[in-house]
Amino acid sequence: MNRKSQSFRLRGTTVPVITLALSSADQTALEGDIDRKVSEAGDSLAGGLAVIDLSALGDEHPPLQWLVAQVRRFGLHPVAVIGTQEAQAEEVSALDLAVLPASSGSARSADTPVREEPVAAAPSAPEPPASAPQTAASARPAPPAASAAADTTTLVVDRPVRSGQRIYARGCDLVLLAGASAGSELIADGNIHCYGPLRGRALAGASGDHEAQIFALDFEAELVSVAGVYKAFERLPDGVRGKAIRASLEMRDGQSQILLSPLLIAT
Amino acid sequence: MSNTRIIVVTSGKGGVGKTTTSASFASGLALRGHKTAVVDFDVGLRNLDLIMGCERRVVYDFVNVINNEATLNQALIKDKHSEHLFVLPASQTRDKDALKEEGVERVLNELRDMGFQYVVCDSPAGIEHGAVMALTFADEAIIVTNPEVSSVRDSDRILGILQAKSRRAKEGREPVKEHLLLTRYSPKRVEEGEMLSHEDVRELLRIPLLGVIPESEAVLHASNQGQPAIHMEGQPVAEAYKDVVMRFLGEEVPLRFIAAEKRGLLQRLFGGK
Repeated sequence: MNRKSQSFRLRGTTVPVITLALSSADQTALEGDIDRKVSEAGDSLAGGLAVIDLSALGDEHPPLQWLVAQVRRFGLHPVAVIGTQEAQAEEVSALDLAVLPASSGSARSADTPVREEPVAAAPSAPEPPASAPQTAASARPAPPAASAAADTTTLVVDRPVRSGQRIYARGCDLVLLAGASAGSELIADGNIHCYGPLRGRALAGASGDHEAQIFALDFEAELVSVAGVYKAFERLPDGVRGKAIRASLEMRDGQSQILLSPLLIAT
Repeated sequence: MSNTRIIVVTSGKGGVGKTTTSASFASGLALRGHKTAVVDFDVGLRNLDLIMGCERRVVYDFVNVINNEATLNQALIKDKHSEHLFVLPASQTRDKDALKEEGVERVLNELRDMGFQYVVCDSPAGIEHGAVMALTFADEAIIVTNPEVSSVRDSDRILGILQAKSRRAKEGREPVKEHLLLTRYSPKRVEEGEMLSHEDVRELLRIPLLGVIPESEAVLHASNQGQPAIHMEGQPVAEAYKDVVMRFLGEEVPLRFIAAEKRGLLQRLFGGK
């Protein structure tokens, strides 16, 4: 029988968490460094969640209550402590914090990619990512570790993306079910998949992922780019226009360039 | 609560036939017995009253009503053809900033309270404030497009703005219902490959086609005479607009005026045009 819970659902969720990883137990030094960081950060971190990571320290560490106060100076809400000794478990729970095993939290990068909702009109659109088209010759260096994370959800857009609209799938793939018009701009840190006509500009691997690709069932793009290497089409070649095409990066003579190949569909 | 439908006639591009369409479409709804108001949002230019042939009866305008300098009843002009149609003219002496969002909303709500079934908003060209005000409160949109690439591109742009800036979009309600209207369509030039076909445009914009209005000299005549083109009896343009109104009201009407006229044998022999 299919039973549903009406009033609530329990779901696993991934949210970004800031880790305060201590490498020194010297309270005076810490306080000075934190002072500086707080004035740098302003309120950019305010409202976020934080984990205090003590795993690099031995038995000696500043009092937890003091650390919690330091975390709050960033406007962050402390939620857990990593790497405490068993003896402190009680102190930790008295502060209403969770105790996490050293392996779980510290392995995850602090800047977990966040999916961005589609932004409809250009004025309110996000800043273009750092690697908007550059010259074909200047391929970007190896992707930063954070952008390679493939475990985020996909951004699915089920209405046509219109001329003048820009959609940015931050840290994830972009799936377009109704295609994109000429004059639109599609940006993804991951791959771009387009099931309707792809007529706008498509930029995959926007934060530097060379492995990113663009898949289109009806390829009529004005420009495609992977990891900043781009190819603009003044006129689409006959074998490409309106065909199922995938665009990827290939190395030729030591230079990256865009390769367009048929989207092979197994029959 | 009355169930007024607010329809914006828009295009992005200028000169494609928005005002001609607003006048004929509103007249067509009124001819079918629906109480209709047509509102000119083109503040500063003011064309609708000319095409409706009521420019000499303009005393108060839309901006006066927004600024509480006149009541809606004082500003509404009764159409000379139909007792069901009223025109709310634009001001020629203000600029588009006079269209304040709260004011526009209040006037549209008053029209709703007065029992209008349809309010047709004639949008100015462009994508700036005036055009955004015209589409903000729309329930449906008629996207007027000429069969050429730049017009299609601008229509696409305005569809994006509709998705972003309409109240329906902002409040997450059912999206504005979009209709494509092709105007200044010349079947002969389509056949000769000089113009996009209605299939081409529909494929590019991917919204339902409400109708195709043929290119016609009669439109110029009609506007010079201050008469909406739909009243030009026997003219293909008038017939096409009547079809559009019927389709809008939910009737199934086949597309007309989309095939080039067959030239007779003699014409073909002697090469007459």
